[in-house]
Amino acid sequence: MRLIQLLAINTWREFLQWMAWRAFLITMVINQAVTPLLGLAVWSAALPGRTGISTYYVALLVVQLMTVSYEHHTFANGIYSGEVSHELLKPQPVVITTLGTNLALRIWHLLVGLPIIIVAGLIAPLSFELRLVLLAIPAVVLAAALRFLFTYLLALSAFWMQQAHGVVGFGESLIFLLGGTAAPVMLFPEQLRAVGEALPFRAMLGLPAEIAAGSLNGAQIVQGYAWQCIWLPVLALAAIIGWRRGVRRYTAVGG
Amino acid sequence: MALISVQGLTMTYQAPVRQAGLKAAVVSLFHREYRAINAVQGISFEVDAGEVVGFIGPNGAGKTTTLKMLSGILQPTSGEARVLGCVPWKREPVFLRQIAMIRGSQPIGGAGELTVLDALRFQQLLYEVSHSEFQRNVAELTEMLDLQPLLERQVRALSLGERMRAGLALALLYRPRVLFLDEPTLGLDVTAVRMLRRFVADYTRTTGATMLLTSHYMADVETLCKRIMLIDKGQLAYNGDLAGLAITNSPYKVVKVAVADEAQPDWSSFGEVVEAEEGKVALRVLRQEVPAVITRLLAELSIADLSVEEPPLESVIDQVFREGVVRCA
Amino acid sequence: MVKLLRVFVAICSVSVRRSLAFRANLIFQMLMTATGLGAGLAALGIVYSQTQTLGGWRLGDVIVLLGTYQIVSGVLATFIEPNVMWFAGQVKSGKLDDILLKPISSLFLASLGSCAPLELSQVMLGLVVVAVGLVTMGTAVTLWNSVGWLLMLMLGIAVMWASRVLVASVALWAPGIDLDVVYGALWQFGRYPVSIYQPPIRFVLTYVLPVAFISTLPARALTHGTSLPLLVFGLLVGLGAVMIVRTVWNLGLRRYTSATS
Repeated sequence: MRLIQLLAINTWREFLQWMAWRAFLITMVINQAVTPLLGLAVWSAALPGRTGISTYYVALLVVQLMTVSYEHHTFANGIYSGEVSHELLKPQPVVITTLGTNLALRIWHLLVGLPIIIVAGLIAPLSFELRLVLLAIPAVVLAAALRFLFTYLLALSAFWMQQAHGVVGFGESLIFLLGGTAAPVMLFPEQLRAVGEALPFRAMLGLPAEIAAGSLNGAQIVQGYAWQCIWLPVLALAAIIGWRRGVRRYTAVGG
Repeated sequence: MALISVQGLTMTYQAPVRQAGLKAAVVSLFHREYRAINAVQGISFEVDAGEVVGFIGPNGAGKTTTLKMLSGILQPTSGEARVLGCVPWKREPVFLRQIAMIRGSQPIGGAGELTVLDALRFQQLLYEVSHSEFQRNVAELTEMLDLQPLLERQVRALSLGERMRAGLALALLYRPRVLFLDEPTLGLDVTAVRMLRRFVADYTRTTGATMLLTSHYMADVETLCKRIMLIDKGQLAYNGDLAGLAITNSPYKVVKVAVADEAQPDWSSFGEVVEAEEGKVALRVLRQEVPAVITRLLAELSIADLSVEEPPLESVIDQVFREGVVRCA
Repeated sequence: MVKLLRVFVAICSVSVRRSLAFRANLIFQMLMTATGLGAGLAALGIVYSQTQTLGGWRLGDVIVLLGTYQIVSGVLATFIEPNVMWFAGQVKSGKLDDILLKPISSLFLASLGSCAPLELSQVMLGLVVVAVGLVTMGTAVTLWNSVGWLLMLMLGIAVMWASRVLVASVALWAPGIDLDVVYGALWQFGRYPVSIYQPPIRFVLTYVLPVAFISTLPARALTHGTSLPLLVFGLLVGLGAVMIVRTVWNLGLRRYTSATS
């Protein structure tokens, strides 16, 4: 209970702080929106007249904005600058601050990105079904958690090396390719599709969009959720272990 | 013909006004308020070749703005200036090759990964310094600034004092005829400050370069400049020699007294106590009352030592800015 | 002009010596570029498993385009980004003042005053991708097409320089605005031929944000040849872009020098 309160306070505080950076927020949102919009353009040109695909990419744009993670900037930079030592002294789990920033940024991204979503929705032909959209909401929440854990885990590499940005960039390339931005996982060639479904990247991004766009049948939705539920504890455990090791190293080396 | 001549130089710019708070931030998105700031207001002066002039004044008085206009970084709102016969803000290469601006806060610009020697070579190319001149100047600067240990090091790895030495070498490599020094001793330690003052004095003496210097530290100005200009709120408050400022502006002298016995007299009846320690005081006494006070002191107390001094420049200037008056000689 | 060239050569040679100290970074850099390119190629592979042409381009053509895009991106990252990155911050920190004091074109020094030679690896990988594209196309390249590609590539680089400097010089008017991220985002539109975008967007990407010039036109010249009128048009566009940048830069400087203190 106390943790949730702390998280809410942190999120609200970060939300207000980012208010001062609103011009920069707009540029960040545009940056995040570009890959889904490119996917929309490419696939609309490749498969003209398929409403399903444009619906998918508009949904993907929304999911992308709701799951953005910048732990390589917020958290890894804190390690490089030594600010993390300051955080270690506070009587609260360090991850609360990071998570608060993360949530605040996601709310901002969604707010600032609304005009882009609306314009994309007006240009591209869409067909949403309310029932499927509702069905996708828990998947968005799980995807958001997974993406945070994944980026956080990669950002932890800052404890060991100076290239955390590169490592996270590499992770983002994987999400781009296998998460459903480059191509919907459903359109992968046969052999690759099974791999794409099993890897955590689709669970972080593409799955909710696929559900909302109606590209999946009942069994496939259940299977998607199953993969999300498997990856969540795995990534969480990895993040916890990584954090403990990192802090031990940080305190031993003296930052 | 003066080397630097300035006529009615004025710089006004608009600064956005922003209140704190969420509401104000939202409001400022749609409607910005601006306020005109008069950084420099109608300054006129002349500097002859070879002169070393100190610019003093409180923060925000317009010293740096004036230097920036004279070096061509800023364009004034109105007024005229000629430096070496050029209008500075036209930034003609022939003008830029003959001036240097050194800022104490950032003695070296450019890429920090370069070694000092690389930076010097680059400077040679930019300023078209001939090979023989380069060799001669580098040798001389290396000697004067003790650069040898720095030449092969990266600029970013230098301490502030070392940076200042390297920055001076970079700026003086091409033998500028006019030097602008903006707070050159800012943040330097005592040895570095002493070195800098000695070096600058030597340089201007041997090369006959003209120099304008701003500083917070009166000692810089006292040791380097014969002439000072006092700037306050964008206006020239005093322009003349150093001694003139002290005499014309301080109606006081400082009387230092040491008593021979354990006496604890009421010092305030003689003058304002500026400093006091066991058996010793410094009194601020009106210039015309000094003889009377000394007579009384000698009559009433047993005096071990007594001296009359001009008040330190720092306090004179402080007084000028507080009272806002300058008495001209 | 000769002096600018000499200074430019000096800048590059110093930068090369400086970055030899970071060989480990080179490998990491190449790995990152290769990953990005690999992801791009894989994405194209998936697209072309569903269709034969994309906006009239076959797979080989688009790979050539991706490589060309990578080459121009590499040139951007090597010679221009190190100078204009976070330009608003540089303006605030007084770095621009240093540039203004130098007896050389401030536009030159501000946009080309240092370089990051390690990023040239992007250009090399781009060349490899172009070669892969040509092999995929399976047709021999004529000399005329290669010359056309080179000329158009130069034009693309000129347009890229101009657009990047224009974006940076916004900071001279509004020091609070950094458009780096937006530029980087819009730059991504160059990964695909402009013909895939809907007409209004295509128009914008050709004439307003000249993304078409950095990849579509050079790649087209290599795969399908170019024509003299198109080359002349390109030359005019390039010259126009340079003129615009010079004018805007000077206006911006006038504004900067008279509005700060």
